[in-house]
Amino acid sequence: MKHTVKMSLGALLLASAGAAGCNDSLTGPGLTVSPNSPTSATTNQLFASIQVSNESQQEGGIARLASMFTQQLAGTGRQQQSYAQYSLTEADYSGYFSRIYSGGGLIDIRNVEAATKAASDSSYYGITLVLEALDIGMGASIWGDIPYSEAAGTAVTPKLDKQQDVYAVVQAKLDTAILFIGKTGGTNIGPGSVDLTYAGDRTKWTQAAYSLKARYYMHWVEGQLVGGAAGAASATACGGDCLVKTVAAAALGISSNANDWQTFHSTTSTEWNFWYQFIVVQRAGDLGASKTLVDTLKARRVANGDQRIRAYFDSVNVGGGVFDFRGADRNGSGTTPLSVLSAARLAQGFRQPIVTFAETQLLLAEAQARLGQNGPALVALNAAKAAQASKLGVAVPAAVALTGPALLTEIKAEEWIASFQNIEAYNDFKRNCYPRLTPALAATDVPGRVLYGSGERQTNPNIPSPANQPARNANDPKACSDVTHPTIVSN
Amino acid sequence: MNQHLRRLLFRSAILALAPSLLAAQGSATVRGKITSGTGAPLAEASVFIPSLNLGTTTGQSGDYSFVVPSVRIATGPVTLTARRIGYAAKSVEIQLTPGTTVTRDLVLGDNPLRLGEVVITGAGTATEVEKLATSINSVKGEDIVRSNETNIVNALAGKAPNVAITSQSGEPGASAGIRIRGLKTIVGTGQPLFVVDGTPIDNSTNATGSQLAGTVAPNRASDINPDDIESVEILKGAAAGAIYGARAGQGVILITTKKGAPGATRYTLRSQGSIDNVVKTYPLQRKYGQGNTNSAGAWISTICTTPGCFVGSTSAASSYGPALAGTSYDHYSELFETGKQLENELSISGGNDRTLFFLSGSESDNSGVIVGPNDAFHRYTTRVNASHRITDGLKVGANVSYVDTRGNAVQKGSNTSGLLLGGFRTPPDFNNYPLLDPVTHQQRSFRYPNPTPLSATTSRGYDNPLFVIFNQSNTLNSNRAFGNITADWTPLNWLTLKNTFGADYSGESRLQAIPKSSSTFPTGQVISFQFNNTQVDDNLIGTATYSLNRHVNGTFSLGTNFNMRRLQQEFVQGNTLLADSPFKLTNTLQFVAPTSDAEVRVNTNGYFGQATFDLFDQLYITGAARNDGSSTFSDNSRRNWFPSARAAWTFTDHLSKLHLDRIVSFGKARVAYGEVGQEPGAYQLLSLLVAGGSFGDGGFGPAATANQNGIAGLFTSGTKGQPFIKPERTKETEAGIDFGLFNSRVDGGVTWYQDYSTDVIFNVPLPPSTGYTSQVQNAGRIRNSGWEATLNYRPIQRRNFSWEIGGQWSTNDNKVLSLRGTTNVAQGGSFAGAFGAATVGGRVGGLRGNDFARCGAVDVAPSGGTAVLAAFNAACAGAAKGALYIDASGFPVVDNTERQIMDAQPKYMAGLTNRFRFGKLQLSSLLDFKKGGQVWNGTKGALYFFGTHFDTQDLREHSVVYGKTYMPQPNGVVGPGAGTSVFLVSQPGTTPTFNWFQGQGGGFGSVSAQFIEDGSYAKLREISLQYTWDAAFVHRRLGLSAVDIRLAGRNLKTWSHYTGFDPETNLGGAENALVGVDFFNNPQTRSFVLSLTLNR
Repeated sequence: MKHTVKMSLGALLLASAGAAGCNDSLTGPGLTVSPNSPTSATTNQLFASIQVSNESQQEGGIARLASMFTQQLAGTGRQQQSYAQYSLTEADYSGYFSRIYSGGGLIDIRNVEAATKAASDSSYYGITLVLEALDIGMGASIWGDIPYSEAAGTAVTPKLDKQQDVYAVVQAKLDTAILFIGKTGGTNIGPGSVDLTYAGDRTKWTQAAYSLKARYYMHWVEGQLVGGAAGAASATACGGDCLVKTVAAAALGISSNANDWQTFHSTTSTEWNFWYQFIVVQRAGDLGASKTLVDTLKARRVANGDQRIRAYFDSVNVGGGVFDFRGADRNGSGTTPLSVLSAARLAQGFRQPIVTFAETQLLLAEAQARLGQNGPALVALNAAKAAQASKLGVAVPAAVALTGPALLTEIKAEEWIASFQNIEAYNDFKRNCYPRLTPALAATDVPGRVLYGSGERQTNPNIPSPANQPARNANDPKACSDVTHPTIVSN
Repeated sequence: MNQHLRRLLFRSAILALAPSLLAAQGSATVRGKITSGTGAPLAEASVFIPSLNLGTTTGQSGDYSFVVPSVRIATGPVTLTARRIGYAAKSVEIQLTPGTTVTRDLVLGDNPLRLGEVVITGAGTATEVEKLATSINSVKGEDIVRSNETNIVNALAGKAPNVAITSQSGEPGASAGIRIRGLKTIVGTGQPLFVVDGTPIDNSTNATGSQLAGTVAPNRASDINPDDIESVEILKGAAAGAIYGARAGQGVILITTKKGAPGATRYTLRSQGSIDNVVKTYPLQRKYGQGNTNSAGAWISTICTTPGCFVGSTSAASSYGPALAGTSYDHYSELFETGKQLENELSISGGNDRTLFFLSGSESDNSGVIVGPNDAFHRYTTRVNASHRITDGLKVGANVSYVDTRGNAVQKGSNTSGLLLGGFRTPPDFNNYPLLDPVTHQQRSFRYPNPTPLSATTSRGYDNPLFVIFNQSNTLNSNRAFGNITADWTPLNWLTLKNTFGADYSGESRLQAIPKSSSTFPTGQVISFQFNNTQVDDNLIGTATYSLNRHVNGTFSLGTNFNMRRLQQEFVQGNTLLADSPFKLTNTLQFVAPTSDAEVRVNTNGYFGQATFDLFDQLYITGAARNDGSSTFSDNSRRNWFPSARAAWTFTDHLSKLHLDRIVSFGKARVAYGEVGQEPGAYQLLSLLVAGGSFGDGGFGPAATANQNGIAGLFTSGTKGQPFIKPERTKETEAGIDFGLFNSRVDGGVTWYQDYSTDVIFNVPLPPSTGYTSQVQNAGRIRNSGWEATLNYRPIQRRNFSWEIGGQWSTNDNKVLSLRGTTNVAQGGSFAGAFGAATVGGRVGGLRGNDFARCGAVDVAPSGGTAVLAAFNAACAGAAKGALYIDASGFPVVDNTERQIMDAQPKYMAGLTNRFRFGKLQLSSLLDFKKGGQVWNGTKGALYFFGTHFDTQDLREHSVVYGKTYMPQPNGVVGPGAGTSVFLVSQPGTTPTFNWFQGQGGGFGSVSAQFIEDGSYAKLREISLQYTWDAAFVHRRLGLSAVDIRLAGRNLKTWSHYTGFDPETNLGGAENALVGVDFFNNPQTRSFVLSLTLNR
């Protein structure tokens, strides 16, 4: 008995030693291959993510910053109040800078481009190029020089490309996009229903590409007017006269409200409008109406019955059952209660406009007005106003008998109002210096750009330290307080 | 209870009779009394005949008695040995004769240095104290129990040098983190490996959702019943831990549980009650009401009277209104009450010459200091530890514990539905009662005082803290079973084989639910978390002893280990409650992301060997090596070696030759070197795609899933695959001396160590423009070095009075030497403006952020551009380093360069223990010191912004000189505005209004550095007064051997300059490696304890 026990125990010990004695138990599915994450994705799956990434970028922190810097909205609490007072560190916008490139950004745009090219789906390829143009064009409009030619490739520390060079490539991409989107038949299937913007509609994508072209030409008008080195940069970016090019592109741009590029949202909580999430769910009280825009819209309502204030904001009980619109001052303080975005714009499923018919018409109007074509400019301006009226469901009376500087000023005003909550509000402001804002606190100017994200700056030696970064971008050589700013002269 | 107890004692009495009934004719009885040199009886001494494996332990009176069955009585004398921890073992020869009684009283000399005692050194190896060449700290089970902590990790606080414990908070079930000799890792939590009776167990702390919010979560080692613990050995350094190879990178905690002893069956019943309260009240102002800066009449009563009114802007959400004329409310006291804890523990142990058993059961019911029923934790534990000697050479055993824990918790931290975030922001003029609107029965809160029927699912901005307490549901339930089966075989008298096959399973389910109208998710939300954690471990070791000659002997050991771990986590979120209750996923509208069902499997196997050489009874040399393979290592480094070598020289004999032995009674010098590892995380070899991911918005909450409109979205993970990864490796050298002085009346030791951790793994940040944000690499190099010292003195050792005083002291200097080109690496568990990071030239786990511009700092970038930089440079010329620049406005300016702004690491830590014994009365205390180690007081920063912090009451009334009368600067101030008197808050009648606290002077500005505080403390960690009642009455009438009555306190007093609740706090607890993050953390508590122990 004793002997048997010893024998069997010995066998057990040897067996367990044997089991431990090889590396086979250390590899295989679930051990060295993750049971949790896929290692490959289809083109459609990547494309779906690209769209959502883009939406989060267009509707996220940079759009809030644009709204606050242009005093459409006021930062009334916590971080937003600091941002509205231009107190931003390089860490604050690090995530937004990364988003240009990381998963869902340029790296996956490139993946989709490669896959659609390999599948000879020119239409799909072209549409993806438009998304690339919006992603990169927005990045270059905010940060100026950005990594592009070496980005999302094999370079370990991609170099900075000049802002004008980035724009030139983006314009070329849009040209290619327009050429490819239209191709039909055979392998040109396109994204179809995976495309949350236009369901693969070739015409709408082509128009959107032209509208973006017009937008990016117009971004360089200030440089062109200032001339010198800035003029040379503008010529590079536009490949010619920026105003003429804007007119040509805008004419082929988005042709109706129905063709507007809007984000996709619904009442499903994973698909909620970002503004709703920010203002209602996450940061109630931090972002309210700005007195600057509220007062302007109130004055317009009195002057000509422009009712957009109702579409943008909700009135609040200011005491004794009297309802009125109230905005906070440029420093984020002021009266309580305060108007916030209207219920319509805060609806969970509200689809935020990104590139629109109205914007296209206003770009056309601005370019034409600057070229002295007053008649067509007024037509385009009123087309934009009519589009707004129809889209917002409120009265937006047409402008009448405006010419010269008055017409241009009204176009700028309309751009400021119509670009509500859009990043373009900031780009328009940098170019036009309209409205004549009093900067927050004691600042002399609204900042011309924000710092590169700390994530990029700390890892990429090509990015200058915060102290050595330019205050303004190449396309925006003059501050609004600078009396030689071309807009101020033309005012 | 009484009846219960009586019944129990009755049964115990019957059981206790059983062994004596067995003492049949023909057997021999051995009895006697064991006393110390002073004549004091020694309880718990083990008295046994080694050759027969037979014996017992003494009772409180020092008496022992055991029976040797006639069949075991051999002719000739046998050796009787008596041992007790802290005393020198003694052996005598006795002659056993059938039918007789041998009486032997033994006196054990003091042995405070524990010489000759066996110390467990891990993986089945052991050695004796004098041969030990590394620093291993032992903590006795009785000291664990005496700490009054239910969590074993908390119980180690102050017990050993360089073993730093940080409690998450005082809530029941809160985790405690442990850090041994500094942080050696960046991505890990820095928690050591826990091994119970030879089998590794899980001590993870799983966050409930976010580490910054959610609720407290237990560290899983808290499943161990402290009463089950015999001793804890802390293997601190790499040389000591090398036998555990790739899992010992952060040290090893070896826990040995209690066993039965042969002889009469013994019973211990301990009942303990304690009351807990918050150590310190929070300083909130009650003078100024809700409103804007100087905005007269902007009180809640006038600005938000209409139903459905929401106080929209933060300026009115703050308390910078005019002075209050009416009632104000105490928003601290309404949240806290006295907590209670009841514990009952029963253990039964005994056995005979072949079979030993130990059984225990315990229950602990803890109701915390937050008012209401939702701050509670219950733990039920059982343990069976039994062994049987099948033959003289073969023993098998099983040691298994099952634990059930159930808790309810209150949400905390950076969380608009957390307790203190809304609680402390509430203006003093708002009455949080009634919590629900009397008409609509909806949540009332200070920003939404008058809810309407339309506002049932509208965010309140911040929740009413009482709504958080009473109306949320956050539950934690776990089931844990762990233990092992062992076989010890001694086939030859020089060879032993031991196999330990162990397993550990824990299943935990948590539910975190917030009702409709909650601020964090106004339509209501239910989140379910499931954690399933299993571990199987087999350890086989063979040890051979050898003796070449009289002067050279030792052991050879060879072993192998196989380990499999699997963690499965499921996380399902249900958004939008259908009916108001119940809080079930099925009662929600949508199951949504983030939903995850991640699984992590890791297999390892290792071989290890150890050789010891005992030379001339004074030089003890050990060499060991372990070879580990792990599924987490990449193919090109699948197996890794972890060597160690150590030597101890006991020079006591030489001292006696030099006639120094009167002064130095014992001396040992030791030196050791070892290497240990830390496994990489699993699955880092390939670049992966993210499924079920989402795109967030810069930390502000808005997010959209990649799946939209029913269309699947996958995207490239920001983490680039790493096909070449190997374990982190720590190489440590330590040296020290241990000594006894004046006939061992004084003993102590000093240890120096230095370790270099190389190949430290972290997500090396990549430029996002590459398309990836990081890649896991073996890229860091960290150094930890320090000194540890212990000194114990026994000035009085008399029969009826003794006094022992002991101290321990340690330093650790942590330095990040390199991060492969990166200047710093972020670590999770902190905030954007004050984020945790490892910084080259600085520490691991320091917070980074922005400061105001200071002279002499590197790369200063004052806000305002080049003009300000020029003025700054001019002002700083010749100024002291660190001087604060004050611009013409009288205020400092933000320095846009982010830098390390906080050092969480203490300069030194120390503990001081005192023990007095007056006859049967024992008094002991433990003082715990930490010098240095900063804390980020984020709570204060936020409350400055909101104007509810007490400081803002005074500061708004008077002008100050920044840097002098406000925020005084040790290095002075410079600049055009230095010395200018300014108002931090505009005075009434001035326009435009200005409030420094709502700009850069508060917690929402860019400058976190201003809220970094000194976290030094001295704590009266433990105090205990115990009386042992063993009068004849106890024996005769109660049938007990002794009754211990103990009155104790835990954390009774904290001395600190920290202005928050307690410098010992950490928002994420043991969920991450950071310490010193305070953002609306729930407070620490102190306890008053009464304990009654019945022994038989």
